[in-house]
Amino acid sequence: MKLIAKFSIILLGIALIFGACKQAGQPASEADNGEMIDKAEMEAGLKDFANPLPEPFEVYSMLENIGANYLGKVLNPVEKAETYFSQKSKVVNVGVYASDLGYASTYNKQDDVAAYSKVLKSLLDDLGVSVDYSKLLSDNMNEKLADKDSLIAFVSDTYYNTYSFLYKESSPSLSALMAVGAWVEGMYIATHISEDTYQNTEIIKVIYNQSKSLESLIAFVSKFQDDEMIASQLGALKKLKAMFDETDGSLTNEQLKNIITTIETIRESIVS
Amino acid sequence: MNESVLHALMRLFALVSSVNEEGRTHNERDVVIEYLQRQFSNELVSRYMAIYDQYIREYHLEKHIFEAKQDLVRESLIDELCSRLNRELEQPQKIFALVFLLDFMNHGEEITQPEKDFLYNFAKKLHISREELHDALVFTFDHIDSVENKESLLYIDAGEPPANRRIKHIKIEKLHGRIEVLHITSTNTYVLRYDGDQELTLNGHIIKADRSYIWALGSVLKNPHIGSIYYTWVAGQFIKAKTESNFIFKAENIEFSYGNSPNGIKKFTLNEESGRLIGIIGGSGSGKSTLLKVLSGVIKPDKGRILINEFDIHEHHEDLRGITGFVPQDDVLIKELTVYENLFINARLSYSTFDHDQLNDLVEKALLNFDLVEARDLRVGDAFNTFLSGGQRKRLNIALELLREPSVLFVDEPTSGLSSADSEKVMNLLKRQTFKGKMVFANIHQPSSEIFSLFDKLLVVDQGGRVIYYGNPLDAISYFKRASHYVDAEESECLSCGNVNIDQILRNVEARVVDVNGRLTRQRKTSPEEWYIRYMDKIDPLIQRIHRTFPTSIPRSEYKIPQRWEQFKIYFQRDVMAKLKNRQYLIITLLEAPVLAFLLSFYTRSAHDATGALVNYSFGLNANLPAYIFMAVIVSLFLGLVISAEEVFRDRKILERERFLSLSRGSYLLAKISILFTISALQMLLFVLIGNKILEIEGMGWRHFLILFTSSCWANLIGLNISSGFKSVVTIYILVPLILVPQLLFSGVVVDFHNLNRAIYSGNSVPAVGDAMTSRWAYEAFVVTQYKDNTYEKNIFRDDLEMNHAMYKKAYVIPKIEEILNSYKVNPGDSVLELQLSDARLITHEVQKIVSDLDMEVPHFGAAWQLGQISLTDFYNLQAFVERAWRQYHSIYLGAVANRERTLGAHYGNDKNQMLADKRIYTNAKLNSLVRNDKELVEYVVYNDEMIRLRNPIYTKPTLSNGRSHFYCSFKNLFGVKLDTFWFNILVIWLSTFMWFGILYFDLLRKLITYIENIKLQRFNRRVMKLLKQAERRA
Repeated sequence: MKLIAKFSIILLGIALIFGACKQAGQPASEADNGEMIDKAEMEAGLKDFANPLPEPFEVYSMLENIGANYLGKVLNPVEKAETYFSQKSKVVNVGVYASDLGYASTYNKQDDVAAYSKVLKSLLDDLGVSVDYSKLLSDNMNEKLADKDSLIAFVSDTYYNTYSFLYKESSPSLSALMAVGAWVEGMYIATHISEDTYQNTEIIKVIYNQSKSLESLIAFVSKFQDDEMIASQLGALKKLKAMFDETDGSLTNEQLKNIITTIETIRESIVS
Repeated sequence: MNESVLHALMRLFALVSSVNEEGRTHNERDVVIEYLQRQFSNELVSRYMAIYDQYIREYHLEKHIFEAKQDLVRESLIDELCSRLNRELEQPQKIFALVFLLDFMNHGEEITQPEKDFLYNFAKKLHISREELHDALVFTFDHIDSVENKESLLYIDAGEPPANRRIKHIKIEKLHGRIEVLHITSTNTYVLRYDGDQELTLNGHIIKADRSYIWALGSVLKNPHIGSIYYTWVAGQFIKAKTESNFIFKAENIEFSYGNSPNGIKKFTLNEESGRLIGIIGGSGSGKSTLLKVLSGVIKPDKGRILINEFDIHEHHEDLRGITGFVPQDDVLIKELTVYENLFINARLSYSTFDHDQLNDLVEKALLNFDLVEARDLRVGDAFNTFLSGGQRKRLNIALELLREPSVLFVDEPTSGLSSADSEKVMNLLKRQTFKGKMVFANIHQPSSEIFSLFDKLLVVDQGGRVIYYGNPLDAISYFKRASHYVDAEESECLSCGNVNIDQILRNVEARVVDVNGRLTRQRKTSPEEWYIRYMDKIDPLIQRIHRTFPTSIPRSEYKIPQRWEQFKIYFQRDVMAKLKNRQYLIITLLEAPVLAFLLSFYTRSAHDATGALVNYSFGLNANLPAYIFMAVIVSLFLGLVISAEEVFRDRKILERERFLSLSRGSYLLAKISILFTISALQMLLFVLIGNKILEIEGMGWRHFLILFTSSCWANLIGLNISSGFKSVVTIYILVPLILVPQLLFSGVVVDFHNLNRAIYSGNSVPAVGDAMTSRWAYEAFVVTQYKDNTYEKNIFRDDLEMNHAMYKKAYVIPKIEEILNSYKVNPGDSVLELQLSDARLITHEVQKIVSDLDMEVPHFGAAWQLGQISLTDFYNLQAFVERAWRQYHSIYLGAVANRERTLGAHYGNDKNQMLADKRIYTNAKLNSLVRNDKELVEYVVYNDEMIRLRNPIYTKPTLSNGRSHFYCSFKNLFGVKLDTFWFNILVIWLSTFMWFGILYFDLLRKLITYIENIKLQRFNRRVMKLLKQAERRA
C-alpha cells in the first residue's frame, strides 16, 4: 500500500514537471527582422550636430515671458496612459507627456509635475526604459529640486536621456517619434491656453515663431522618413509647415484658425 | 423475585403439601418459613405465610370435595403455575425453585412414587432435563451414590480424594464430615449439602445438615476453625475441566525503569495458570499501572521475559497477536458513535473474515453478556457529556477488548469511579471470563470485601514498583500482620461477619513511625526496599520453584486483523461516521472558510483610480488585491492547521491500543489524511468560490483553488504531526502561533527579502529561511500566476519577458561591463592587463550568465584571470564578445516587440476599448506594480561581485539552476529544465507535505521530544547548581 502511494506520488511529481515544462515552452525566437543594428552607426547618429534634437520646452518659456496663465486642463489627461497599447502610441505619448511635464515645470506646478512624472515613468516602465525620475517623484523635501530653474533643467536633461536611451536601445525612428509628440503637444498647449487666443497678439506672436522650431523638427525627423511610422507624421507636419509658409509676417484669423485646427487634428491622432 | 412468582411458589408449596397426609404439614411449614426468612423481612415472611396457610386450608378443605377429580384439578393447577413460572423466571431461577421444592419435600423419609411422578411431571413442564432432575433428586434424598454424572459431584473434606477420579475434591483441614456439591450443568448452579457436626455458615446463615442449599455466586461457607470456602473454589473445580485452551503465563525476572527516574518495576517473577483472576493493589504511584503495562506487553521490560506457554510475547509478537488484551483506565471509545457502532467497528477490525451478519451476531452477544442492551443505541459521549452511566462505560470498554476473546486480559482500574453495585457487576463480569478459562489481571484501588473475595491471587505493589506480596489473597493479610508483629496475625477476617479488611494490608505496608511526641512522622516503619527484600527472601523462591507442565502450542483464536487496505476503509468509515455525527464540528468546519472568504473579500473590495480617488469597483483597480492574496494564503494555512491539530491527540488512547494489536498505523494515518484533505478541499473550494466572486476575479478559479488546497494540505500534515508528538492539548495550541508567525514573517510579504537582516540576505535568491516557508511558495505561485496566466496577459507574457530581459542585459549589464573594461587604460607595450579582483569577478559572473542565456561560446580568460590578469588579446576578444552579445540581445528585443504587437493585433484588432476592458477585468494594477517592483528606482545593485536586478523581478530570469530563485520569478530553472513557477512551487509544497508524512508515520517528532526529555537533565541541573554556587561564593 505504501509502495503504491510512494510510486503514485513520484509519478504525479513527474507529471507535474512535464506539464510545467510544456507550459514553459520554447524560448522566444530571435528577431524575425534579421536586422543587426550597428551600434557604432547609432552612436554616430546621436552625435550628429548638424540636425540636433529640437529644444522641447522653448515655447513654454516664451509663454511665460508674455505672462500667459497656466491652464492645467489642456494637458493630456494621465488616465489616457493606460489606453496606449502599441509601442508606437506609447513612445509618441512619452513625448506628449514629457512636454506636459515641461509645461508644468516651467510654471512650477508641483502637483502636476508629480502626476506627469508618475505617468511618464509608468509608460517608460512599459517600454522597458529606465531613467532616473527619483528626484521628480520623491516626497522627500530635501531631495526635491529647490528652484524652478533647476527643475526645468532637470526635466530637460531627463528628456534628453530618455531620447538617447530610446534611440540606442529601442530604435532611432521611435525616438524621433518622441520628439514629434513633444513638439505637437507644445504647439497644442500654446494654441489653447487662452480663451481669446484670437485677440491676444502676444500669444499669436509666439505661435508664429514656432514655425522655426517646426522647421528644425522636420529636418530632424526627415532622417527617418523611410520608416512608415515617421512618414505619416512627417506628411502632416509638412502640411502644417506649408500653412506657415503661406503667411507673410503676420497671421490672419482665417490662417490662424486653419493652423490651430490642423494642430488639433494631429494631436488628436496622437493622443486618442 | 417478584410478587406473583412468590405467590405462585406459595401455592405450589401448598399444593405439594396437600399430596401428603396431614401430619406432615408442620415440618413443611417450617421449611417454608426458613426459605422465606432467608430472603425477606419478617413482615413479608408473615404475609406470605398467611397466603401459604390460606392455600393449605383451601386445598385441604377442597380435598374431600374433589376427591374423585383430585388429580385433574391438581394437574390443571400445576399447569397454570408452571406456565406462569415459565414466563417469569429464567432457567437458573427455575432450578432454584426446583431445588427448594425438593428440599421442601425432603422430610428425612423416602420419597413416594406419586411424589416422584409429580416431580418428573413438574420438571418436564419447566423444561428441566430428566437427568438433571434425577441427579438433583437423589442428591437431595441422600442417595448421592446414585448420581449418574459423577463429574457433577464435588466432595469437600479433610481426607483424601475419592476413589472415583471423576468426582472432584477439595481438601480442607480441620473439616469434620463432608460437604457435597452437585453441579447443575445447564445453569451452572451448585447445590450443597453438609454432613457433619460443625457449625457452618453460608453468608452468615447457619446451614443445617441434611438440607440442600444453593451455593450462589460470591457466597462463602465459613467456620472459625476451617476458615472460608469460596464459591470460586467450587466453580473453579468444575470449569477447569471444560477449558479448551489451558495455558501458562510466566514473567521471568522482569525489570524495567523509566529513563532516569526511580520508577519502574523491580525484579519480579510470576507464574500462573489460565482461569485465574489476579488482583493488583498498592499505594498511589507505586507502579501498578506500569506493572500491568509491562506484563501485558505494552511496555517492553529492560530485562527478563514474558512468556505464554514458553513463547516470548515480544519475540513472537506476530504469532501471539490477539492473545493479550489491555483495557486502559481511560476510555478508548469513539464518543460520537453509539454503543453498538463502537462495538461493531471494533469487531470489523478484529474479525476480517466475518461477514456483516456474523459481526452483528457477535456484537449482539456482547451487548447481552455485558448488560448493555438498553444502551445499544445511545451515543457514548465523553466524560462530561454522556448518556451512559459510569458502569456502562466501563463495561463497554471491557466489552470492546473482550470481543476478540483474548486469553489474557489486563484491566487497569476497572472499578474507578463506579458505585459499589456497578463495581461488583464489573468484577463479576471479569470473574466469569476466568470461568471460561481466561486469565485476568486487574489493578484495583480500594477493593471492597466482596470484590476482594473474587480474586484467586493477589499482588501487592509498593513504591518504586516493588512487588512485596504475591499469593493467596487472604493469606496476604496474615503475612503483613505477622511482619508487623500483630498479636492476632492468624485472623484475616472478622469472626462474626466474615468481612475482610483490605485496608489493613496497605496500612501495615505504609505504616509510619511515631515520633517522641506521639505524632506520625513521614518516615515509614518498613521501607519499600525492606518489604521487597522480605518478599525476595520468603516468597520469590517459592515462585521460582513452581513447575508446571504446559502445552507447547499457542492458544488459538479466530482473531484476524484485516489487510491494510481493508483497515484503511474501516478507519475512514469510522472517522467519517464520527465527524458526521458531530453537528457542531460540521457546521463550524464548513462555515469557517466561506465566512472568512466573505469577510476578506468584502472588506478588500474597493477600487481607486490613478489619482487615488474612489471609483466604481472593478477588479483591475482594486488596490487591495495583494493583501487579499496574502490573507488567503494565511487563512489556508491556519484552517489546515486548526482542523488537524487535535486529531491524532484525540485518538491517542485508541491508537495505543491499536498499536498493541498490531493494527496498521499507516492505514490509520492515511485514512485520517484522506478525510482531512477532503475537508481542506471543500473549505478551499468554498473560499475560492466566494472570494473570487465578490472580488470579480475572472478565470483563475482552479489555479487559486489548487494553491490554497496545496498549502492547506501541508498545514494538515503539520497539524497531524504536532497532534501526534505532544502530550497535552494546550501544548499543541501554543505551538500554532509558533508555526504560523514564521510563515508570516518569512513569506516575503510582510518583510521584503531584500530588507532582511544582512546575515540572511542572499542576493540573487530568496534566503534559505524564506524557502523553508510554505507561505513563500504559495504566495509567490499565487501572485505570479495571477499576473501572467490571466486571460489578457497570458498571450503576451512570453514576449514581455524576453523584451524586458533583453533590455536589461543590453541597457545595463553590457554597458556596465563595457564601463569597467573602458576604465582600464591600455598602455603601449602592455601585454597583460591587471584588473581589480572585484571587477574581474563581476565580469566573470555576468559573462557566464550571458553565455548560458544566449548559448554563446565562452570567451577565453586564461589561468591568470583568477588573479585579475588578462592578456591583451583576450581583453579585446572580451570587448568584441560583449558587442556581439549586445547585438543578439537587441535583435531578441526587437523580435519580441514585434511579436507582441502581432499577438495583440491578432486578438483585438484595433479595438482599444476591448483591450482596455479586458485589462480592467483580468489584470490588477496593484499586483502588476508589485511584481514589477515599480516603486524601485534603482535598476540593480552590485552584491558579492554580482549584478542583482531589483526591478521587474517577474521578468528577470533565474540565475541559479537548483530551482531556487529570487522572489516573484516567473519560472524556475531546475538543472536546465524550465519549470513554470506555479507548478514548481506547488510541487515543492507537496514534497514538503510528503516529507512530513514520513515524519508522522515514523513518529519522529515524538521520539525527538522523548529523547530531549531523557537527556541527562539531572546532571545538567547539578552542573548549573554548582556554577551558581561558585558564582555566589565569589560575589
